[in-house]
Amino acid sequence: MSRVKLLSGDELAPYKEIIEPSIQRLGFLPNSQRVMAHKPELLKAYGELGKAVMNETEGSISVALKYMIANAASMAAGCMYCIAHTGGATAHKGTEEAKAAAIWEFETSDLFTEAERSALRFAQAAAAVPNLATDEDFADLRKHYTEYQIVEIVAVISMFGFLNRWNDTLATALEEEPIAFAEKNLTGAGWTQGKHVEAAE
Amino acid sequence: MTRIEPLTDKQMGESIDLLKPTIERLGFLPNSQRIMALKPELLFGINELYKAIMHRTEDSLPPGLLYLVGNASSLAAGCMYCVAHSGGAASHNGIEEEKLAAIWEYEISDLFTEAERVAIRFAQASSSVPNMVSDADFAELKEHYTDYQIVELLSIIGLYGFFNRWNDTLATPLEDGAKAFAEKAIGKAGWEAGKHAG
Repeated sequence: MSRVKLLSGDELAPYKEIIEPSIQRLGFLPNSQRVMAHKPELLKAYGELGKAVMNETEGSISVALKYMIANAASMAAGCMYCIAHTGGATAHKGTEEAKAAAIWEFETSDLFTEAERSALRFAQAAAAVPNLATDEDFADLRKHYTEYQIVEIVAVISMFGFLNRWNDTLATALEEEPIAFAEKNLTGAGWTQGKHVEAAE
Repeated sequence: MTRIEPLTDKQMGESIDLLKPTIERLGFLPNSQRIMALKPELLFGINELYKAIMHRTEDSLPPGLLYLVGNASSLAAGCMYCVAHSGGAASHNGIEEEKLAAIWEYEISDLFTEAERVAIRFAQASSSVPNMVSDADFAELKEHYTDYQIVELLSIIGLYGFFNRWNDTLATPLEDGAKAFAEKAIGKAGWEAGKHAG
């Protein structure tokens, strides 16, 4: 259950404009942001960072790949809330469900390109504690991505550094959409809802 | 070695205007931000997040405590760049160097209050992989802090979650000022620049 109270729809009404881009991106408002709203400045600034990191720009990698990277990083950190969200989000952005379900076996699954493998391997290493990213990982990334795209990849992994700590510390309760996605697609990868359940009424 | 070259002042162009407050606060511009400047929206986004976390209200915790928590968090994640920077920021905000050097022993050192111990314990547990925070930790936090303050504590831990991954992945080179501070203040407590030596 969420360890800090989630603000309700009424309490969030003044921040409609701030939360709209997340709703657009995901299809619903995540409970993680209902906690951030205790400090409205935080909610607003997190929204800015989210747009900066996740939106497509000229020369950027696709949003679908960004969420695949976020999924691999969240698996390395073990945050089930973030794994469900990012798996659902990459599918929402056009990754086939079978592929979103196979991210944990990217090294051997035929569904992934070498470029995707390079980014997902890097995400796992960069999200491990202690950090396992090496100079060789960077050399490998450079075969597939521009400097700008590598900055984007590190930014996605880092933003989920914030979110993995945030949600796994708060035991943020999962919403219906990501639960449905994860139960259908991610149990093969060992996903369970664990502590991210609603409080009993 | 540097994995992505930090931009020079000239290469940063207009982005540098955004960072005047940071430069004034630290006396220099951190290399971590010189790398973010390769994607200016990112630099803007992270600065907005930083300002929001440091935005003070009547209920807010003192910045020194927030940086102390960021320091404990960075130690748990093992990012020596962030340990040096958060230590410098804590010191700048009134935390004695002696206390920073003793952070490994916060459970038994007389230098820490019970409220600080609870916050540092929370930082360590929430920055571990897998995450070690329990309902009991929250019960203990709530004896000392309001929900608003807990959100503040977790925000700085989250911010360093971003920075720990960013800087330890990029092996960001430490700036002379940050390195000199860390060597003097926490070198004796085992801090080393490692891959961040530049």
